[in-house]
Amino acid sequence: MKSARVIYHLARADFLERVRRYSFLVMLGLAALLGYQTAIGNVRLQLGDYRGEFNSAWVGGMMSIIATFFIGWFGFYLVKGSVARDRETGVGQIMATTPMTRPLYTLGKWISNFAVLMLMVVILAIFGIVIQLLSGESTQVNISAYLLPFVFIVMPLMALVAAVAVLFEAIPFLSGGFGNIVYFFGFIMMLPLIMEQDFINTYPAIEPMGLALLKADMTEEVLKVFPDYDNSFMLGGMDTPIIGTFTWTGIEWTPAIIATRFAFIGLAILLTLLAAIFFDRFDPSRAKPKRIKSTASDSAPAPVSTSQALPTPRLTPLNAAANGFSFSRVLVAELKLLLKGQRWWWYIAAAGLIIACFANPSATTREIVLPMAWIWPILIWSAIGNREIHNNVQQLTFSSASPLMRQLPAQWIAGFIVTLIMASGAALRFTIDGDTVGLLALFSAAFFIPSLALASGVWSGTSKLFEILYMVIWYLGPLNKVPGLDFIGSHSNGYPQMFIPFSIVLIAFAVFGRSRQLRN
Amino acid sequence: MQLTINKLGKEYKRGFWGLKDFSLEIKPGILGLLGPNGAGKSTFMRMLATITKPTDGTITWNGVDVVKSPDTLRDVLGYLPQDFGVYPNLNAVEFLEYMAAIKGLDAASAKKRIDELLQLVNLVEAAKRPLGGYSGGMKQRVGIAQALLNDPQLLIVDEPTVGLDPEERVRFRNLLSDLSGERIVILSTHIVSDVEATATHIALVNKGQLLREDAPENLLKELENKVWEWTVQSDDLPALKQKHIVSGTIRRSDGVQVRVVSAEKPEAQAENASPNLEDAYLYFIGGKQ
Repeated sequence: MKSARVIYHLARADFLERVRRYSFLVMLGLAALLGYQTAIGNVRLQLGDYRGEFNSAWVGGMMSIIATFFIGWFGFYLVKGSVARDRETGVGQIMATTPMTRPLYTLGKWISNFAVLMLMVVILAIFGIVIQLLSGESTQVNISAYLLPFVFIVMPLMALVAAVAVLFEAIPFLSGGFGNIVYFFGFIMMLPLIMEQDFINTYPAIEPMGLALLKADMTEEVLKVFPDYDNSFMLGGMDTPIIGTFTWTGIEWTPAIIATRFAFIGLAILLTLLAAIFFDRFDPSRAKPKRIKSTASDSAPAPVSTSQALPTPRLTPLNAAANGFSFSRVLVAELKLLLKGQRWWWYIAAAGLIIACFANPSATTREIVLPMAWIWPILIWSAIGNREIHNNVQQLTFSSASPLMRQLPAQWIAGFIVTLIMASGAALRFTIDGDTVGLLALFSAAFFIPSLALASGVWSGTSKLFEILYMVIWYLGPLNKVPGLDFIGSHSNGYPQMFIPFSIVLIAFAVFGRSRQLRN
Repeated sequence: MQLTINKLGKEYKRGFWGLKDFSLEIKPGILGLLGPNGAGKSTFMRMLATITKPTDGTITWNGVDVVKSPDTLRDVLGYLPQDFGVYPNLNAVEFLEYMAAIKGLDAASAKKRIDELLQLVNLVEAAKRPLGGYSGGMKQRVGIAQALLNDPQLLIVDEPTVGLDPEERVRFRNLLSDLSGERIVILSTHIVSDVEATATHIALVNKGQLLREDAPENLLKELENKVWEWTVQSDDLPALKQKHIVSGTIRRSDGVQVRVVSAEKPEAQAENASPNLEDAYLYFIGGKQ
């Protein structure tokens, strides 16, 4: 009973702290935007050339898939950070002095994460009802057919995502930007991997996102009406026209299916308890010590006798000539800030990628090696523009002369230099091969990356926004050939005519954001 | 060299004023800011340090409006905030080099200055270690060093001795006294003895307003014949605290010796005592809350 009360209050305090933040409104706004995009037909579910009639079951199923895909994928980034906040605010250290156990803490965080995710799901669910009524295809709202996919498909997945967020935060090497990257690619790669397994056809409820379950049931229905259905299943835009509709009345929720789906909630609880094992309970001594070259005298300074006379401090006054601002020194310092703190193997891999860019033919470099070279420093770029806030140094740097004219340009140029260094092998290869189109795309991309990083960092105050935005663009554009997003020119000319002006807008946006911070 | 603050005010959300109608003229020397938590000291210092923009009023440095031209002041400003961080992957030298570069110090002067400052704050041996591994007191000393990098004409230090050991605290107080000759130093602290040891002027702040600004000796003079000491029984102490401003108690074999700040003689057996700044603080702020 006492434990339940602790978990309740942990979750409640965490939930209230989040919902009272401005960023929470942004989260709800994003959910509403997703609902709106679905309502106007920009996001829809199709089975080949067909779709279901807009009755409660179909809309419920479609909104469930949208929720599991979008909130499951990006919701992770929205809820992750709760343990870090306790660490940064110092609240964690206070909690650590109470009888609170590790499992209670992680369970409290899991419930809070789950509540936040489910609130976004509720917003989408409300939009779903509106969509059904607006479509006019079926005006009868069947509450159980509409809501059960949310309960049996979306809810267990949200429980799982909430638990994975807690687990990532508890494991030191996954708690930062690296964990964000792992989840991004883990989520997107998990689906095709699971869908390819044979057992999914027999037990579709085992697939966590519920896509297999819905697809199996809907396929059965569509084949009755349209035997030529090609077995494709799409969630996306309006590129493929709809040539026919069918009526789908929903899944028959058998006890076996329900038990399988709710097993994911059990799995989520297990993951949360697993997180408790890794959770350091805010004990800094459990953190892996930094490798520091130190001598014995560093760690054990010679004791100073307090009876000796204290030396009178003396500083040589600076003369007027000492004032000599040098932009290059600020730039070198910013470069140091960007590149310091990486492990030796990071630099070796970076050098390997640069050499690989040069060693491969121009086409291979554009399609494969350069995209790899330009995902490697993502955690370096993501610190641009928010490092001051992240390290609480802003009061020191913003009270120095001309922060807008000195530090901000130096930060952008330092980012640009790192980007160019990573692409230097490719630039040399394109020059030798006379690939001027590739070279132009390379420079426009090198211009774009630090600009996006700077604008995202300044406006969000965190590294997360850039990491997510950049991974999405990188994944969709250079890797998946989505037109307009291939900023590297892996499968196109790279759209420099679009990315250079856009980068200028991003820089202007960053300057505006920083001047706003300075004006306070 | 003159810093003039005229009717300064800062309004936060919902009509809450962190500071209001605050006027002060500051000349070279050490100004100690004293006031309870939430009095507006840090808001005031952040506005002086050009970090927070005032809602009302003006700040002028040698006649130049600082709100309109913040760089006029930033060039000669050294600021140590109450709560600040460092870049954990840089060592002390690299961090100070970075701060020197953005403050606009030339390389040669910066190098010499950093060497001197590291000696001054006693961090020579740890200078090459990443700041992420520093203790709170060591980080505070790095903060002190960065505030002094550009030999500032205006030095603003907010709770500078927090986290310092007694020896370092004395060193820092000596340093402030040494520096104050031809510059303005504004020191905010809860440690009255730090102000007592260094300040040439004291500003008492409460509820966002300036209550008094004067030399310490004038404040103390006002308290003459207002500080009393006598011995009471332990049981009588709670009632006494309800009635008077008690600035100190000492346990003795015959009871508790109390120190009370009061305009009137509180008890027949009470005897006059020599006032100190803590008494003055309690009299002007504690007694008037």
